[in-house]
Amino acid sequence: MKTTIPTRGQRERELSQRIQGLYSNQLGHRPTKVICQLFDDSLAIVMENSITPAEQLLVEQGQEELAEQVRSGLDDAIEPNLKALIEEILEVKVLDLMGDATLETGRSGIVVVLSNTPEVRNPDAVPKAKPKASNGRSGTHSQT
Amino acid sequence: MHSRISHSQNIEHILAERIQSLFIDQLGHQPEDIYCRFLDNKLTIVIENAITKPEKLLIAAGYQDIVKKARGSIEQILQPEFKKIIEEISDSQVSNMLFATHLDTNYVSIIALFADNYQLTSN
Repeated sequence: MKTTIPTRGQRERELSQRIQGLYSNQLGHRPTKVICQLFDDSLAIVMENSITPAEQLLVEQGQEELAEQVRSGLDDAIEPNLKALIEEILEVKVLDLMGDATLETGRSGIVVVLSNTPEVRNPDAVPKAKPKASNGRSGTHSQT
Repeated sequence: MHSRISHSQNIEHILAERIQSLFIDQLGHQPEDIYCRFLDNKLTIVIENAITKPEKLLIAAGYQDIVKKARGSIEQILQPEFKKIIEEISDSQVSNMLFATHLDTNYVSIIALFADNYQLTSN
């Protein structure tokens, strides 16, 4: 019996909830909002209120550089789990994961490059990139 | 004598609660237990499980140096807050404070020295 393939929205919602749970579990701090959006074979993640109270305290006291170091370390520490979570939910490989955070606004953004466009029930709902030259990215890239 | 001991214990209890609130407000972290003991012109505070989850994650990922730097700054930031709370509750002036975080055991220990012998008042 074949299980139903989730829609784009279902995949994005599940990702958002699981990422929120991952950050909550690892940092003891739950981002208030996590938005995930699939486009072609990439994924964009935007998190609001993603900065922990300790980092906020450092920023408020003028220790931005130290807060940046803390954030960079936390991103590195979470990355393997985040990558595994994305691969589990989207059922494709993660080729690259690039993120940054703005400590002043508490927002974080991550762009994830995937090996393929994830399979969804409504593939037309996933925005496609414009046709490109053959010098594509490394990894297995499926043509749809 | 009995009321004097009860009053001391009450102040220690109030102090522990205020310190716990400070940790939650400023670090978003609830320590497990906080012990406060007055002795002559000294106050000792021991805070259990005082290390936040992000700090534990960084240590596990090998970023101990960053945690040490961040903790050093957090201690400096929180020290005036601790002093304010202690002086307010004990109604005595703190002349010196020794603050130490033990990352390996998750403890924070504080010794506050009062300018004069701390006097327990019954009011």
